[in-house]
Amino acid sequence: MKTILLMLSVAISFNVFAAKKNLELEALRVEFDTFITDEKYKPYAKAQKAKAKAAIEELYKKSRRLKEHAVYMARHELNSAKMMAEIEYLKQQIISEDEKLDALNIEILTTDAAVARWEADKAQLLLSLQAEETERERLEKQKALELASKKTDEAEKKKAELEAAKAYAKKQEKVAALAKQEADLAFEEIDALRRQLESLAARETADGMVMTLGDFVFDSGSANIKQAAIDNFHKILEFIDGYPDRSIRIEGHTDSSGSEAFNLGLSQNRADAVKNLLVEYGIDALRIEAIGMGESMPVGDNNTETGKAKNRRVDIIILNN
Amino acid sequence: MKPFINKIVSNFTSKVMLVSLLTLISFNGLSQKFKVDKNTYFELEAAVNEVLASPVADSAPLEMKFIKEKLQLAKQAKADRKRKLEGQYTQQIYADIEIAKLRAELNQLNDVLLDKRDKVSEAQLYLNELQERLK
Repeated sequence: MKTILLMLSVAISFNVFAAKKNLELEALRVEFDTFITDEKYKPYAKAQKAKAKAAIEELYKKSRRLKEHAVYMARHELNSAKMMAEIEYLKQQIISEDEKLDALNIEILTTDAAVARWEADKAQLLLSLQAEETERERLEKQKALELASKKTDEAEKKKAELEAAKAYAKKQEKVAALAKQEADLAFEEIDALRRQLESLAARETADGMVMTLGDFVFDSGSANIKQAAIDNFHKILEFIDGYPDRSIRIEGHTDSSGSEAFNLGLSQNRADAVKNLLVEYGIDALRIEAIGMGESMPVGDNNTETGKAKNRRVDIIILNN
Repeated sequence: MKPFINKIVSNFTSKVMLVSLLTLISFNGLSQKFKVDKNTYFELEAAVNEVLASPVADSAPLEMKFIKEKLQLAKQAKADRKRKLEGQYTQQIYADIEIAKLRAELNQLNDVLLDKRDKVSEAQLYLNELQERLK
């Protein structure tokens, strides 16, 4: 009976230990299965995996109570396998990252070179632009200087023109003053001529009534009768009109200056001019005789200016019939 | 009947005993026994100190804590003259040292990998920046 009880207790003990053994083994087995089926670690730590597998299988083979130490060592093999696999995986990852880094570094070098080229081109372009800008500014400055110089020249020119205009105006003013002076003189002369003509008086001579025109009637050294004299000839005409039936002799005289022939010609021309004027005023040409006497019949002293002036004359003689 | 039962029981008991004996023999034969002598502990202590002085200690602090605790147990087993227990602790501590070294290597490789990934990331960013400048 004791033997039977002993056997039963041994059997129960074996069952209890077997259950515990099963639990621990099962946990290890599940952990191992999970580990070896993990795709991530499949290619790695194959030897250590085999070692761990052997250690776990060894535990299964043991029919006795499983000792804590043996389980610990089997778990150690599994943990070693796991860590070695992880280490190999990490090494592979590092290699992969290194390759990635190398590829990136090559691409960076290439891109960096491209960027450097691009920046160099940009800098070159910038330099060109700056040079162009500098040149443009220089040209603008030059243009401004030229413009300023041109304006200065123009101003100077205008100033010179203004001064010339002023000078011209001043000159014109002088000319105008002279012209006015001349005009005044001319008016005075005309007036004097008019007064002389108006003051002409006839005198009785043996040949008839004589009216003498001084040389003021003519331009100097010429037979041309002054316009003012022509315009004021009415006194002479009135004198002639007083004797409509009588013939008229016009005698031209000169002083002794110049040659006799010249003086003769001049006296004749002056006598003719007076005749022609009278004809123009309506006096019958047949009534008039014009004779040049030259210097042959002086009435004054040819040695004095006053005498010479008296000698230069045209006598209009209303002849006694 | 009784002699038959006795015979059966006797045969059964003999078989069980035989199986138990074989199992015991098997256990003893299969489990690798760690041979312990008077220097075993000191060699172990020296190995542990060597690891403690190495960078492994910093890289695997948890493992080192267990090793130190287990070394005390081994020391106690040696003091108690429990050779078998001392042998098991010694074997476990050497296994733990191996694990600690693996852990240290793993951590170091992890750091290297993280560093590489950072570099790859930085390089990628730099490359993107360069490519952006070229657009």
